[in-house]
Amino acid sequence: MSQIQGEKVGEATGRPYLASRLCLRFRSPVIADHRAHPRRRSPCLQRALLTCIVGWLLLVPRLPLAAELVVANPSAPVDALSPTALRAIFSMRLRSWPDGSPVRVFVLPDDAPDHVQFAKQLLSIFPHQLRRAWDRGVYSGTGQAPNRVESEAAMRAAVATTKGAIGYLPREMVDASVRVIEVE
Amino acid sequence: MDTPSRQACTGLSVLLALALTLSAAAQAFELPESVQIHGFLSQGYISTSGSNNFFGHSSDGGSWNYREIGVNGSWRPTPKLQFSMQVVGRDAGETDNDGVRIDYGFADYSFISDADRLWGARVGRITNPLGFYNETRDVPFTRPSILLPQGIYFDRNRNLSLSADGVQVYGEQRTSIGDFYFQAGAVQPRTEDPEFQHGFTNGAFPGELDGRLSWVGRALYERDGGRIRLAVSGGDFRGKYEPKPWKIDLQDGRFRFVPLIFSAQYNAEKWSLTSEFAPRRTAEFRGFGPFLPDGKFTGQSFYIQGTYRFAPKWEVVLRYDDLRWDKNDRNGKDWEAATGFPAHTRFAKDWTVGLRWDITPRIMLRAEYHRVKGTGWLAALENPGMRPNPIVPSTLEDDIDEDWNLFALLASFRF
Repeated sequence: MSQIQGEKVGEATGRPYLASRLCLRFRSPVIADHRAHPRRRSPCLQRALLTCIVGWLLLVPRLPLAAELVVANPSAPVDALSPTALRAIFSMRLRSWPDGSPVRVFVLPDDAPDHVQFAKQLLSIFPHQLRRAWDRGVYSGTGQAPNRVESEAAMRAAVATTKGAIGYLPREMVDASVRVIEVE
Repeated sequence: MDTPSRQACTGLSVLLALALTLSAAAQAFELPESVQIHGFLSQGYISTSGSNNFFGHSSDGGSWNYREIGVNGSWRPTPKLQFSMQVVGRDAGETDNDGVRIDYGFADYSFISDADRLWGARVGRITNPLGFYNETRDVPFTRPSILLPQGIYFDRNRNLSLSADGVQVYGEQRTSIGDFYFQAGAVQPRTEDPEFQHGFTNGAFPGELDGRLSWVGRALYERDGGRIRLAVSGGDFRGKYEPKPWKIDLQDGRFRFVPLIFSAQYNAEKWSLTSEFAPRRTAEFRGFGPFLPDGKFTGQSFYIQGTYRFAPKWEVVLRYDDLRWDKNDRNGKDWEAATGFPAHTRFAKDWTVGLRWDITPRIMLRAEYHRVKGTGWLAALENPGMRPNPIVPSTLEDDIDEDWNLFALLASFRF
């Protein structure tokens, strides 16, 4: 079950720029192959490889694939959310579930590795962009801040016990107390 | 310490006490989840070269008269309805020592809200959606630098820019090619800025400045949650001056400001590039009588700014900011010929380099250095040599320097 969801989550990150990064990552073993046979390289190929390597070094975050899953309180009225809806919820711009009940958003601290991974892989945005969106809402009166929790265990407990809650957890922390929300 | 400063200090202390009490109360009584209280507090230090002053007597051993304290509360009884208010105490030298004021306070109702869109309306005192930074201009954590680029975000008429009383409709469409945001408001501008009033009355004429029906709006496009941001915003701010009876016959006057701002930003993980361009910022005055001749200036300003987050918690910013009060008189030569006052008061070219350190998510320290040519964004209230005064002739002895620099430090806390 979690395997299948993992693949779905992987697909959800398939926005153009992340997709190209992921492709580069998958190609990296090929680059290593070519290194093993240096004499076969043409100058053109060499240049292409160099570009790939530099690009890979510059662009690809050293992160495991889709380690985070979106989780909600078991009372959540949906099993799945679109990437657009997910980003709108975590940007604090979509305030309610489809049935009109309030969403309660839980996040880890901005610099927590799980938060960074979640933002980049599932929302396709950087943590500093999320922070800017929240601050703009809070300090211009047009929005509210998400609820911050300090640890994964606190995240699971908060999501499990708060009606309308949504958050994220590393795959190994997910248990029956929360509902996994597919992103599709 | 003069009376306004003392009042401001008292006001700020009261606000701080209020903030601490509220946040303690919030924890003690467990406010409902739909209520949030946040705030910020900052203290700056500004030192300037020569005899140029910015935010107080900064040229004479530096000025500590730069403080901002704000507390805001929001209550969301249902997902569609939110009430918000922010109270701010601000001291910025002579340009702002009016103590505590309500910066915004409004009700926000969303008529349509689903995964793809959000449409609604706000009523009350609402922040003006101008450029990227105006709506949260007092919150140091949301600014790219200690001082916002002054060519576009004048601090000397900060209240007028920040918010206005009226109605605003807003909309948001989230599509496969990006998100579109619209805001449009019909408002009455705030006219309580000391420097702004001084601009009309030269500190000498008694009377009242009031806002009239005005318009403000912005269209913003964001791709990939803000990787690319493009916006156009503008307004048509109008007001009138009503003189009080005085020893000479003063006439009613009208003023009008029509700013137009184009904004662009690119956000990568470690760096951001931002530029804003105000190709047209018209200021028009009519009917003030012989002491402020009818006039219409079309100014122009822009800045380009790079920020680089070179380590977690650290950020550096580099910016060039260019302001012209009259684009047909870019170097102020005509102004000098006509008025006898310095040409350099009509433009400013500012190179800024700054450093930000987020010690914790709640505490931030900043330092920055400005190398400036021109005095276009200094305040006449603090630099009497800038502007002709028909009643109290200014001595040009306290002349100001065309080439000058500014160094600033800021400590900021938020909750």
